[in-house]
Amino acid sequence: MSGRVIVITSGKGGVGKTTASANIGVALANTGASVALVDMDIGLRNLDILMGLENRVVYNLVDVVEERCKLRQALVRDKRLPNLSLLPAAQTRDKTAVNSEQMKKLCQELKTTFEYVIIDSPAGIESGFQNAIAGAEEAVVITTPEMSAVRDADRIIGLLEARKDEIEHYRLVINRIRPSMVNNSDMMGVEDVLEILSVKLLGVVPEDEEIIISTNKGEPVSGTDNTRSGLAFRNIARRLRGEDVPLMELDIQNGSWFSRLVKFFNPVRV
Amino acid sequence: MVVGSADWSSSLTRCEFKSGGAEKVQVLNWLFRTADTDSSRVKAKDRMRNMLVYDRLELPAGRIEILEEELLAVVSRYFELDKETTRFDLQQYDRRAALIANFRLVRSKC
Repeated sequence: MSGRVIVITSGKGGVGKTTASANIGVALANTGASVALVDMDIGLRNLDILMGLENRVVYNLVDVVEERCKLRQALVRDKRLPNLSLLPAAQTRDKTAVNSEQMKKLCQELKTTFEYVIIDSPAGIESGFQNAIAGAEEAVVITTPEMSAVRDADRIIGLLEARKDEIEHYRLVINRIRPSMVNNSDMMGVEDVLEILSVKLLGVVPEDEEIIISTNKGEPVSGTDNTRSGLAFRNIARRLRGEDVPLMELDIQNGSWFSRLVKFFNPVRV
Repeated sequence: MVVGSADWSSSLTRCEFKSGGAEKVQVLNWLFRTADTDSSRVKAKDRMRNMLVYDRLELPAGRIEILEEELLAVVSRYFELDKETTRFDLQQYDRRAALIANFRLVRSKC
């Protein structure tokens, strides 16, 4: 088998790379595909927490690279999805513990057993990022509609463009959109960000408190049916699989144009 | 038409504001939405566009201004210019920037 290696990256920290990696991994695995999630944030391990697997980590990525264990020994199988595995980052080492060649080799090996290898990149554009993209053929760039995140995403896109030979294509996910703020012109919207970055869109994820709750539980939202962010991540996974899925209606919370009008003339709060 | 609706919206907004209900004002603004160039959304977008041109070209601040002066000097050797209306714009096409210079020529100096 030769799977697809997809790196999830952003430049700026705190925009939702790890959340997106966990959710895209779970959503892909729920479609039946075999998925490996790789935490490349060496020294700042977090993906295990989001997956609820922090108690099962024995070996890590650096142990594999330094041949202290076999790859399959380091892979932690998901609690619910047997076709989903996590390769945790080392917590006590730093970004210099691996190099690009080692990452390429590791990705090659993972590709032979998994249909999807999802790499959670660390923030920044230094060696950690360079290692994270080393073995990848595709990239998902995460941003939020804030200026600093968009600027950093643009920088990342520039770096990905410069490696066109290896990274065949990249697409954008706009995370934590607040539809009501966009409607009030208090936040840049999807079109604004796309126009600024001139990049293909993979998906849009609304701001959702459920993300915090799901992190507390160690159960990514895309594994449950009733959250808006979960649906958004499932749509993203389907698009990654090549399906043509329309963007979800973001404005449901505020109601339709007509229901707003009704609310305006009938101010009774329900 | 557009101007009319903008006036209509702002007068209504003022009315509503007196009778209270910030939410109603919001809804009214939304219903009679015009190109609100004062919004933070538009401000952010304009700042971003400008900033990214410089970022992508790795262009230090003030460099374009020097280029503009030099271009002006060169063109001025050949033409008498209407300097008031001469414009320089950095615009973005896909992910590439274009420097658009617009010289209003009055007459040739030859």
